[in-house]
Amino acid sequence: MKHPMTKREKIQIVFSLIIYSIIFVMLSLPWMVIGGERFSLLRLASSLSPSGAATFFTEHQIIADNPDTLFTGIRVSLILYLIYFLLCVIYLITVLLRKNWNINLAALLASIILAYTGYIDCMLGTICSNIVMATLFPFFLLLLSTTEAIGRKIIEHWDETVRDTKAYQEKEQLEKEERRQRLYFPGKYSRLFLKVTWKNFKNNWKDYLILFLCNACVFAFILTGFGFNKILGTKNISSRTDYFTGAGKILFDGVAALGIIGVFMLVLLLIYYLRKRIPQYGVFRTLGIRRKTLYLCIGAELGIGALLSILAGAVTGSLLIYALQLRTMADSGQLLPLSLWLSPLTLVKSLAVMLLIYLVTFFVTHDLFVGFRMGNLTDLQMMKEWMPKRLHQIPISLGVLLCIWMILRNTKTVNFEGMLQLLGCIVGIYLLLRFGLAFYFTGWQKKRNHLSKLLICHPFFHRSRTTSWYLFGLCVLQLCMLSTLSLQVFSTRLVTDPASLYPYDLVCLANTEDATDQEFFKKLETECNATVSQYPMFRVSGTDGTKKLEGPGQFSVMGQQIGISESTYHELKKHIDPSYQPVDLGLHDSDDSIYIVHQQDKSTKAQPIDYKTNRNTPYLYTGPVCEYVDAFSHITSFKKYHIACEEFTSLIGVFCEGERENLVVFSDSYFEKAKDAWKYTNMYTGEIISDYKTALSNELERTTEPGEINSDSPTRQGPSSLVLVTVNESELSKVEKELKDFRVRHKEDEVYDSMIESYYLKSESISALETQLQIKDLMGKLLMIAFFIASVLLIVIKMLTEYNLNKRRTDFLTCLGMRKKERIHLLRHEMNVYVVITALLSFTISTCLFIGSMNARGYNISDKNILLKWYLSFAGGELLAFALIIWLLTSIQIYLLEKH
Amino acid sequence: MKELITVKDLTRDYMMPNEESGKVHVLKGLNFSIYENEFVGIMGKSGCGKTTLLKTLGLIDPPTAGELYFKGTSVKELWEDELSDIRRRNLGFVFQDFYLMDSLTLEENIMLPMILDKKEEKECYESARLYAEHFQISHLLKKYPFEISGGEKQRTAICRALVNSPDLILADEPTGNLDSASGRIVVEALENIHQNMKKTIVMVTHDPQVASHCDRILFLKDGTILEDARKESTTEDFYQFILNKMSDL
Repeated sequence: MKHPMTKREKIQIVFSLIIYSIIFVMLSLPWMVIGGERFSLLRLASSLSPSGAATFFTEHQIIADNPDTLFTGIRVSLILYLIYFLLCVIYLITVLLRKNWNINLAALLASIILAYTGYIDCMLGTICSNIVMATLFPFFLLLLSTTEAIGRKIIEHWDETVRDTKAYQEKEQLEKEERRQRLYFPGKYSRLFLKVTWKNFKNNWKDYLILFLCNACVFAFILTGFGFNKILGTKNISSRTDYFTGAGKILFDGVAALGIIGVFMLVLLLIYYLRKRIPQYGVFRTLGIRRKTLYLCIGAELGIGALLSILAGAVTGSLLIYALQLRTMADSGQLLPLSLWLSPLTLVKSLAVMLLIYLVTFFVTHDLFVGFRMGNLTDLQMMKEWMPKRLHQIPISLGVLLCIWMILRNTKTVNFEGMLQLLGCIVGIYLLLRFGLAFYFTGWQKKRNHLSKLLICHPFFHRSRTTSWYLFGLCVLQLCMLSTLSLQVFSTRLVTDPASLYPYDLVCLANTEDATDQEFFKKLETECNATVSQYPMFRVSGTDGTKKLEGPGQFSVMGQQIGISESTYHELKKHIDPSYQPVDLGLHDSDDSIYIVHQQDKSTKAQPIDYKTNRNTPYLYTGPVCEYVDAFSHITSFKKYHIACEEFTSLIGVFCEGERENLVVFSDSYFEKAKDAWKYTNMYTGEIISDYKTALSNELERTTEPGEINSDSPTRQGPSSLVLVTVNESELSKVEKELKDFRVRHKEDEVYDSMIESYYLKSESISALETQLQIKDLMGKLLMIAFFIASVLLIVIKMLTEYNLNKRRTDFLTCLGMRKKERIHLLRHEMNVYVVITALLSFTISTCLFIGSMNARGYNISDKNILLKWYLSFAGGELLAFALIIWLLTSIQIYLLEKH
Repeated sequence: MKELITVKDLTRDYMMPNEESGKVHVLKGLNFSIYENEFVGIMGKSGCGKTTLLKTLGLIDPPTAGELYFKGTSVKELWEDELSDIRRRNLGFVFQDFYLMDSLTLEENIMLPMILDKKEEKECYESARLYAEHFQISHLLKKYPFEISGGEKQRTAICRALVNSPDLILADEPTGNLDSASGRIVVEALENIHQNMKKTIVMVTHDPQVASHCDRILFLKDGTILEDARKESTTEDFYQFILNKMSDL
């Protein structure tokens, strides 16, 4: 006999009935719109069965590539819905019969399958015009089933849950009360507390000042970056001053690099500062200061410093911007008022970056905060450092191989001098240093005569981890400075005459068939005495054209290049150099070979035309961009090409920093075929239009023109004529209105990408390029200075942190009777080791990377020689300066250690 | 006598990356009690765990395992701020290296525990003066630690340890960095505290002469208590006993 129904069971049944009634109502609703008609699941099932797929699709104007597959998919979806429906019915019956069979879990599982299949391949969505509803409908069912299952469980355990929660709250309350009573600490700290903490802080003002100055410098650099970018935008020197393009991009990169250096320096200084302060705070901890009070003291100390340094940085940054304005805007004779470049937005952005740096710094130094042992004041100095004891050869070999691999990678254009190579080398350097030192010292320890070098090796051996980190830091800074930054600065010097990169005064991407376009060019010839040359072209699109992403979850902007024939290429070459004799480009009438002309100046990094999808064999599409092509579907709709050869030069002009508007040269025969490809391809997906494909597969003779197969054919022709105009700039202003009209007519070509324009003026492009070169040079130099200062700072911090240890050692050795000369030799030797290892390692790797980058950029021999000469002079000078500064710092250290 | 500190199966390990096991067992299951008004010495070879034991008793390092009771309360059950409060109010520390703050005068150094305990300014100054007079350093109160001798520094540290009238003084080799004359003054000072002020003292020392002033000595060997010896005769006899015992360590 069944027990009487409890109140809880009643609630459970009512709840399940309500939820499942809603589900039944939903299942019976006509939520699908097919061919303008509304369908419920039942109606759809009944409509499909008798008539079959073909009739149903025809009646409801459903176009399908493969009707049978679609029909099967819809049937599977309907069967799944049926199973779900049946499970719901069975469940409700069991609920009413008070059987606890948990069928609702099976219904939940069915709803999960429905939602999953609906999401990955929504067959119903294919035939419905309300696709969103078709995708979301199974999710609603899933939500309801989940709510019911969870709701039932909550009702089942409601009393226990309420009781537990109450007990937990009471316990919490009691604990809180107990805590309050036990930790009751009334009263206020006297003025003596402030006096003592202030005096304690004042004792370290020199270290605090270093931290403060570094903080101020970092903020000043950041503010300078943002402020100067604002100036560029306001003065409209470059039309491309967005953060990710043109001069803005260079600035942004520079500021980012400065930010990294900032973090590096701040972390170092903070570690140094805390290492010094922690023992002092340790006395407070031992004597029983409360944690909160101590953290308040540390927080106030660092917080006030940060605020003041931000203020100082803002002032310094403003002065720096002003100086930069004087340096770069002197020609234009216009200086902008402070309010324009030091806007609240600039300050907020700079503060946000600074906050980010603080956060990173905090997380890096967090271990020091939580890990410091309050009473053990000598722990930080006493700790013997772990050194890898065996299997050194494996990581050392890995390090060497990694460096070699990255250097080789860097020689290829397709690897676009990316950060990966630099990062790979940095990892390699770390492995080499950490395990190389361990290998050397483990071997040294085993030697019979190792005692003869004990004093010399001891500082490295005893503190092997710290030594390798210092060396690593120095090598990374030197490597960045010598390889990347020096190339950035020196390569801008190669671009002596930006005007020479623009052989034409106006470059238009027009349409051959457009009569208005042709009239405009005729007018140019007649009214402005212009020389107009027209060459056939078509747009060549790649799935990837830039590193820029507009926001999370979006695909990359597609790249747009200019496709020309081999003959056009030779003519363009001839125009640049009349003595040019056509050479074989290696295209050989093949369909998949291309020749690429990277149109970029010599200061621009080597870069492939396809960054992400396939650099060696890019997937390209011969037509305007297909907006619905994503990172996956391009493989089916785009054609894979093989790069026969490539060169770095400017044949028509440098317009998009080598990222867009490069020339893709096809063989003449393939060019003729490919220029009409737009007529047969879907402008959204890049796929060949199915009607035409069917016609081709049946080998039927075409009765209509391809573009006319369907009046709604989604095709579009991009620019088909490359028009190169030579004319006086003064004459060009006569047709300014016509140029504006030309842009309006070709608005469709510009709409997809802000960098792509329908015409490019030489004067504007030169101005933009000059600004970019100036900023590149300036930022490069600024960064070089910052990296150099960071290197020196690293050594200063090393000396400061090890001062007490060295002092003790010096005193000890003095007591043992060691001569002063020998003691000095020991100290100098230690620092010389730092200089030599840093110089050797960083110079070797950076020289290889530098040469690799020159190859990747396709520089000619004379450019390479010039660059190498500059590089060697700079590297020699820089390393010498570095060695001299270390020598000087060591002398100061020796003086301080020996003065008593 | 009332128990001030009770230790049951006390273990303390340290993480040591260079060791095979990754850690080193410093204290291995100690059991003892310290009673009120006792003068206890801890002796043993270097590295046997004397300082570690003192730090654990001083609530600076937590025990890895076992129990440590301070005035009957298990320290495991105390919050960190409560431990701080006990250190501030009930414990006084005297270190071998003095740990005086160079940026503060001797007077400020002595007052520091009172300042941290939110005591009135006037009270702080008075107590500092009182203890300074007692230990004959009142003429040095306005000087800084780097201007005075080692013995004077240690007496300042003793004043600082006493200023909050703690129940227990923990001294880690208080004479270790001092010459014999200064060391004698410091030992006398500690004896004075023990006998006249009725304070409990736990002192780590290597010096048998200094240790002979204690009522009781815990001899440590490799992290365990080798012997818990009490002074049952004269100081000289006890000194001889310690000397004999040290050869076993």
